[in-house]
Amino acid sequence: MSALFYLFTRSLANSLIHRLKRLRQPKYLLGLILAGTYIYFYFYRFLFAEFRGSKLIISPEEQELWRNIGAGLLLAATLALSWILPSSRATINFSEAEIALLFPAPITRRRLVIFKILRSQVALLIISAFFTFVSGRWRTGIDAWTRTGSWWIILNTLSLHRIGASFALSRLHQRGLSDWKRRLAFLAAVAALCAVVYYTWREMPGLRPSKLPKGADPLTPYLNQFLTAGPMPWLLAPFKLVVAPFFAHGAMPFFAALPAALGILGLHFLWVVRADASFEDAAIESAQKRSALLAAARKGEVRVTPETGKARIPLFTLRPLGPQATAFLWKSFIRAGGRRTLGRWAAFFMALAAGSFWLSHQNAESPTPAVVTLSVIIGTGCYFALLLSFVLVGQQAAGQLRQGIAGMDLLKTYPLPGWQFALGELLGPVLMGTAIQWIALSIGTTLAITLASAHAADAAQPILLGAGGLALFLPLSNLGSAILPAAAALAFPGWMKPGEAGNAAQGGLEVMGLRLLLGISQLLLIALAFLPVAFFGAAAWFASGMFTDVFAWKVASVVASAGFIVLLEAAAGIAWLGWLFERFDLSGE
Amino acid sequence: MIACDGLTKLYGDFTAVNDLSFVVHPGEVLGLVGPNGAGKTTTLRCLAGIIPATKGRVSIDGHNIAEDPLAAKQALSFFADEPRLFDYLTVRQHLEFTARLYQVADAKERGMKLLEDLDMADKADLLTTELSRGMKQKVALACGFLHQPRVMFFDEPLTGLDPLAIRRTKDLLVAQARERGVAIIISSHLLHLLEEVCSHVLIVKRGAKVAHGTLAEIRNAHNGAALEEIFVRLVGEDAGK
Repeated sequence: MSALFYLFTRSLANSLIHRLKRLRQPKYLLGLILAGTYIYFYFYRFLFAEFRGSKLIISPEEQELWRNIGAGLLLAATLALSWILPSSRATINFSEAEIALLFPAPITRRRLVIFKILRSQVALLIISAFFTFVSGRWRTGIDAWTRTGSWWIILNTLSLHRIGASFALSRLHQRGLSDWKRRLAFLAAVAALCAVVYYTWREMPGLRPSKLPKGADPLTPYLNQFLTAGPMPWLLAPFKLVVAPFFAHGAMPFFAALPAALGILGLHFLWVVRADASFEDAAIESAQKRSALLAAARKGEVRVTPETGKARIPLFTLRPLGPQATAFLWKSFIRAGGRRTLGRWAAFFMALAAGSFWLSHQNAESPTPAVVTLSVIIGTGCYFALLLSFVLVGQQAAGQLRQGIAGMDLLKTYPLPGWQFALGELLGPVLMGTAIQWIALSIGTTLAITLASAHAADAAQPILLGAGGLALFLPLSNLGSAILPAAAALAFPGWMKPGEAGNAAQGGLEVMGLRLLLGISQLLLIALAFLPVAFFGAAAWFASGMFTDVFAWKVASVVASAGFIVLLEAAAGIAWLGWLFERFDLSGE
Repeated sequence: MIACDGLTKLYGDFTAVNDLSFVVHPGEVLGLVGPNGAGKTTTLRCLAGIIPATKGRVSIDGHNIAEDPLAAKQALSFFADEPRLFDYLTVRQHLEFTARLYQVADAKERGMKLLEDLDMADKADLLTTELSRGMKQKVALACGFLHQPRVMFFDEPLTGLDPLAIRRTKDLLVAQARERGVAIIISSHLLHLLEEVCSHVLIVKRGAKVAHGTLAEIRNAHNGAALEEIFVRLVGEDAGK
């Protein structure tokens, strides 16, 4: 056990020393200062500084309700995360180094489990502190500390329950219970539980609003009545004990609730430690999967699961002769899923568009309040998505180019001018993003025209013209907004390493700050690039006004001049990216 | 032909490659040998135009890699120790992608012939994630051979391969040099293998040349000793670091 303790403490100390040493690099120091400032001003001062607002006062009835709701949520999370969703493999994660060193060593299984539980405490404490920051802005002083402790108890109980359940499921699996049978059994149990709850609710006397005092909230007593009727109190009792410290207000109630919660945590610990389940195979498989994902992240690819599955059909045939940028575009479409996946998305969007056109027809023929409301919701959603996409499409394209840079030593051997690489890597995400934007724009515009036409007969023309102008402008603007972050990746590769700024797992506060800095800089640069576009667009509007009063001509002149500036910026940007690519010095990395 | 004149590469104050000069003629295979950290990979990366040299001149098939990089790169292939492949492309798609980059008009026929030569024809439509390390190495070789380069660089090409794959790769390299007159540089620690494959050897220590010549010349200069023995004598205290 002393060797495991040594491994635990040295790993922790070395990780801290590594991060401290890293602060000698200005980028990490700056990142730490930024993240520290952000956390202080956004969270910390609300938690530990003197509270200036009014304290939230909750009645005992409401406290009881929140405890019941919290217990219900914990019950649902426990059932889903521990018994229904996971596979029947004993879940306990070891790194590949731990597997190589500890599994062949003369250490009992029980000690390995204790080591992993102890080791997970650092991460759980950090998560608890983070959850306190996020969920506790209205708490101050001692309440903040008790909240951190409460989160720690809840997360630890959930974590231990998940491990214990995986051991139990693994045993059931070894005895012949398949995953699907087990899931069906647990879903049947959940259905039976729901039936009991439903029966209780049906039998419960209805709450008469007339009996409530004037202005009182009718929902709280009703929910309380439901959560305390029939078998519900028995069902929720253990979960209420676990969440009780979380909902305790003040130090004394917290410490009073603590023994029961810690008792349940202790029972979970004993359950897991005494289980003696065989977890080695699953741990090795899980470590290999995580290692593959990590390797992919280092190559700049973000994946949720390791790359598997069928070969993808290209969207078009790539002939051996022609512009080399097309090869990167062809690769982008395959990467996005190829003909099958893109075809499915196209069918989905076509169905969405058809539905919207039907809705628009209904609006024109027989508008009912439901149809109008639905049209407003879908139309607003489309325009909101369009607004978001102004940033997202460019970011996605720049992200793809950054991932390309991760394989720079191979790229550098290709006989291609830098601008072809830059154009090719950016073009795929820009085209796909633009296609989605066009669909959103056409749906939004169709609905907007029919809705607006009900109030003003001549509303269609300006909306249509505006949408047409925007449609022409979108691909260029996407390319333009992708260029600056992509250039930052080529000009400051050390700041944009995949798996570093993009991966908080390797991170810490300094990497979080680095991401903040990158995000702010990119937004500023994009805004700066749009200044000349806005200037020339406005100039075209006023200049055309001197010659004509026709709205369509004015819009056309704005689109033409703004589009021309964006096109110039995009062409200059691609040439600049190519220049940066050709001068990119791998030996500096 | 590969011509390297006064190649020097500095990383800050550290000299990774120090004033290296040599020529590899068509059909010659040069073994680049040295202890860990001697600057072998840096040398190869400078020669292939992956990183810029601090000083010196590198010419690939008559094209200066710094002044005319596209023509020089069209004539070369670089094979890293770890095959760099795209997980979401099949073997055939890798060849199609490479063909477009190098503008290989008859890529389809050449690609299939290469896959057949490498016993990979039945794997053409598999994703590279489904291949073993040896097979991935073969895909990298097929992509590198597709545009029929005049110059090839191999950085530890045999690492992680089984004996059969080592034999096949070795035969392929020799065939490229003898039959097509390709100028090849191989960096490897497998000295007995280099003795079998290479016509010339360049031994480097701390970035500088300590011996260069044909295998026979180097052996004669050291009383007919084996390459391993010569390596230990010349590299001395740096060996094994």
